[in-house]
Amino acid sequence: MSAPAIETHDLHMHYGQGRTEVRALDGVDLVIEAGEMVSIMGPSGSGKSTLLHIVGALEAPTSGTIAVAGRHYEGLGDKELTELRRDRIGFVFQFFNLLPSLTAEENVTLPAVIAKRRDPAVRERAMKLLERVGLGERMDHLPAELSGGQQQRVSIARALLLSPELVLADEPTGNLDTKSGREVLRVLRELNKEEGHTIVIVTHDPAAAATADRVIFMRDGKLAGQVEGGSTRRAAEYLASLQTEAEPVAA
Amino acid sequence: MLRSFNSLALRQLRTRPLRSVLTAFGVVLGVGMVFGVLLLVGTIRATFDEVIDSAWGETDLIVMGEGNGTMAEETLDRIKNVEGVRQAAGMVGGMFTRLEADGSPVKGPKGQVLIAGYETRGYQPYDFRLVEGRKIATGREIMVEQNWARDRGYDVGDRVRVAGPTGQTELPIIGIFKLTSSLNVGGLGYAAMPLGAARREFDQPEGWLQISIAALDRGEVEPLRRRVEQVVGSGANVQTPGEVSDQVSEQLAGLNTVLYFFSGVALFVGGFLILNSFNMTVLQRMRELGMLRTLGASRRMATASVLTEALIVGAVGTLLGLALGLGLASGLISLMRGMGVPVGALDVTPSAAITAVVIGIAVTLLAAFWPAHRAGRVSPIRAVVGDAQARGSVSKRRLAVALVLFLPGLWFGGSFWFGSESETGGLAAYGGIAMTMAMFAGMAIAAPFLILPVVRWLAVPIRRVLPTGGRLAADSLLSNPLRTAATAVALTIGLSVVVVNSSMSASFVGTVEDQVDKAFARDVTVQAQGFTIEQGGGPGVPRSVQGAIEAMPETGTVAPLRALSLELPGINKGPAQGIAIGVDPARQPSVDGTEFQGVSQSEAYEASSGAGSSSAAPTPTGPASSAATRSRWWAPRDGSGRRSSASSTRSARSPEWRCAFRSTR
Repeated sequence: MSAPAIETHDLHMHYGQGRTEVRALDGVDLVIEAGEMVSIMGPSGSGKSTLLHIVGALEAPTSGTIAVAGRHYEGLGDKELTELRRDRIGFVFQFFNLLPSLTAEENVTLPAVIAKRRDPAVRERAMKLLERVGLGERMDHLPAELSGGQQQRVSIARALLLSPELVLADEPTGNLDTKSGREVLRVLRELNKEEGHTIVIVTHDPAAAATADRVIFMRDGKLAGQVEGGSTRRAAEYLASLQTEAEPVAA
Repeated sequence: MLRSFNSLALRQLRTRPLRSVLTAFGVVLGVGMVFGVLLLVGTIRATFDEVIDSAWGETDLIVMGEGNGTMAEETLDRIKNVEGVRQAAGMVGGMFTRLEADGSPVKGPKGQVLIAGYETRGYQPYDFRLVEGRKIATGREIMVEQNWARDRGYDVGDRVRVAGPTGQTELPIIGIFKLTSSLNVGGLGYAAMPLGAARREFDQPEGWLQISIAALDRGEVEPLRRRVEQVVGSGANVQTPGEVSDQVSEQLAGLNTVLYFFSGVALFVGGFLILNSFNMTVLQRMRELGMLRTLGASRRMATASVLTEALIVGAVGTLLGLALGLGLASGLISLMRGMGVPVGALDVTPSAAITAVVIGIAVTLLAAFWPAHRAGRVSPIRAVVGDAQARGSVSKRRLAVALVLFLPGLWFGGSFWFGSESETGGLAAYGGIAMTMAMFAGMAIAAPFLILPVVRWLAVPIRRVLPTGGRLAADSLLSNPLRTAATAVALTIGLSVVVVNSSMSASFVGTVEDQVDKAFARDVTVQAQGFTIEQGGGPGVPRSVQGAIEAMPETGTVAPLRALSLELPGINKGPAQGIAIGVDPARQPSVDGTEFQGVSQSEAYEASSGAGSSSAAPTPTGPASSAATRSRWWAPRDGSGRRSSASSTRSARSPEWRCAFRSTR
C-alpha cells in the first residue's frame, strides 16, 4: 500500500510570544490519501491557509511532523525543500501569479525551464494541458489578454505540467466570478479523476468545497470535523454550525 | 517556451520599459563621464607626446632656463664643448600679436603667434616637415604651421601683419611646415624665423630661451645629461624630450584629479540610481519572486535573475555611455581649444573604452548586488502574501555604520579639498576621493534618519494646503522609509557636488580679486604675451620697451620686476616650489601694496638680500659671472604662513620680465 499523499502529526504553528502569541495551528493530525480531492474550510483565522502553506513547504512549522508521499520535511534544508516543491507539488494561487511578460504557453512551461527540462515532451504536455483547460486557441496570449478564469486555468495547467503528486490550491475561485469559478473547479475535478493527482483546495465557498471528495473543517488552529463532498448544503451547514456553536455537530 | 531561466530577465525589462530606460540612464551618465574624462586626459597626453616627438626628432636633451628664463649667450658654447655632445643649437622665442587690416590686434589666443628663431645652417634642433614653399634661410622671413595657416587662410607668399617687441611689422611667409596632423592649439600659431632676423625682431641681441643637444652616442644620454648639468648649473633644466612630455603630464595631474573626481561622483550617483531602481523592482516583485520559488527556483536563481537584468541594463547603458563620453570629450576639447589650450584630435584608445566598459558593468553589478541578494532571500510564502510587511525599516546599526563612514570621510575628504596643503599626488588624490566617496556613502546610509523627520515636518503644511493629495503623498513617502531616503539622497549628493564646486570657484575668484586689489597699486602693467608669472615669465619685456615707457612724459614711476621659479628652502616638509620675484626696492612700494606679515615692506626686501640666502637659489646662468648685477628678490609667503626669501643673480644683459609703472597724474 502506497504512503498517504499528506500525513501530518501534532502540527503546530505559533506566531509571536507570551501574551501576543497566536496559535495558527494547534496540533493538527491529518491524513489525505493519494488521489483524493479534499477541500479545507473554516472561518477566517482558523488556520486553513497556514496548513496549506506548511504542507506546500512555503513555511516551516513551529513543531510537528509532516510528510508528502512518504517524504518527511524534518531536517530538509532550503535546497531540498526547493527541489521538493519543484518535483512533487503544484500550486494554484488566488491571484493566479502568472508572469505578465510571458505568453500562456511560456507561463505553463516555466516550471520545466526552472527545472532545466527542455525536452519536446514538455512542450507537448503543455499544449495538451492548455487544450484540456480549454485554452488551445490562446496559447500565445499574454495574461493581460486573458480573463480571470482563463488566467486561473493557465495556472492550473502550469501546476500540473511536471505531473506533481500533490496540487495545492489556495482560494482558487476567490478572485473569480461564479461562472468562471465553477469552470475552474470543474477542470480541477476532471484532472483529478483523469490523472490521479491529489488535490487540496482551501476555500471559503461551500459550493467550491463541495466539488471535493471530502470537506475538512478547521477552527482555532485545530481540525474541527469533516463531511463528504458533493453537497453544497451540507458543507454550508457544517460551516455555519462551526461559527455559531461552541462544539460543531459530528459528521 | 523560454530558452532559459536567465532569458526571463530580458522579458522582465521589456515589461517595464520606462524604468529600464531610467535605470540605464544612471549607467549612461557614469560611463559617459568616465569615458569622456579618459579620452580627454589621453588626448591631452597624446597631443604633447606627439608634438614633442615630432618637434624634437634628433634632439636627445633640451636645456631650458628655470621658469623659461633666458640663458646667457655663452651657455651654448659651453655646452658645445661638453664631451659627448655631437651638435647643439640655441633657440630664441618671441610672442607676436596678429593685427587686423585696420591695425587693431586680434584678441585672445587666436591672435597669438609664437615665433622660434634658430640658426638655419648646420644642426637643426627641430624636425619640422616642410609641406609647401621652402625652408627659412636668411632675413626677415617665416615659415608657419600648416593647420594654423589653413585656418587663417594664409598661403606661401602672403604676409602676416603682427605687433611684436619692436613694434608693428609684416612678416612674409615663405614656407609651411607640418608639426602633427591633428594639432589644433586653439588659434595659437607656431612659426620659425632665421636666428639673426629673430634677434632683431624680438629685441633679444643675446641669450637663449632653449638649447637643443644631439648626443654622439644615443645610448649614453644619461651620463651626457649629468655633464651638461654640471656646465649649466642649477639655474637651468636639462631634460630629454620624454621628460618634457612627462612634466606636462605632471602639470595636468591636478586637472586630472578634478576630472576623475567628477566622473567618480557621476558613477556614484549612477550606481545609486541603479541600487534604488532595483530595490524598488525587488520590492514590487515580491509576489512574483515568491511564485518562482514555489515553482522550484533556488535562491541563487532568484539572485541571478536580478543580476542578469542588471547586466543587460549595464551593457546597454555602457554602450550609450560610450557614445555620450565620445560627445563629451569632443565638446570639452572644442571648449579647451576655444580657451587657448592646445589639444589635438580626439584620441580614442581601446584601453579607455575597455576601462569604461569594465567600470560601467562593474558599478552596475555592484549596485544591483544588494537588491539581487534580497531577491534571493525572498521566501516562497511571498507568492501568497505578496509584499505585505516586507518594507524595510531603519535600525540603529545602520546609523552606526553611517557615522563610521561619514565622519572620517568628512574630515579627511574635506581636508583634501579645502585644506591648506595642496597635495595632488596620486595617492593623496585617490585617498581624498575615496574618503569623499565614503562621506557620500555615509550620507546615503544615514539619510533615513534625517530625511524622514524632514518629510514628516514638511507633510504638515502640505496636508493643510492639499488635504487629500498631500496626505496621500506624505503617507506614500513614509510607508517605505528606505526608498524615500535613497531617492532623496541621490539628489542630495548630485546637488552637493554642484554647490561645493561653485562655492569653491567663487571663493577662489574672491581670493584672487582681493589679492589683485592689494597688489596692484599701479595704473598699467606691461608684460610679454603668453607667459604668466607662474611659468616664470618667459623671455620678458625688452629693455627698449622699458626705456620707451620711461621716456613717456606721463610716466611717474617705472618698476621693473623679474620672476624666477625655484625650490624654496624646506620649512615643514622639505623643499617646495616657489616663485622668487626680483624688484627694485626703491620703486616697488609705489606700484605694489602687498602686505607682509610682521615686517614692513622695506624690511622684507632687506631681509631677503642677505648673502647667506644667495647661494640657496639656483640661477639660470650657472655660476654668477663678474658681469652680473645683484638684484634683490623676495618671495610671497608660502603655504605655511612663513615668509621665505631667496636671492639670485641674473645676466645684466637679460631683459626685465615686467614693468609696472604709475602715471604722474
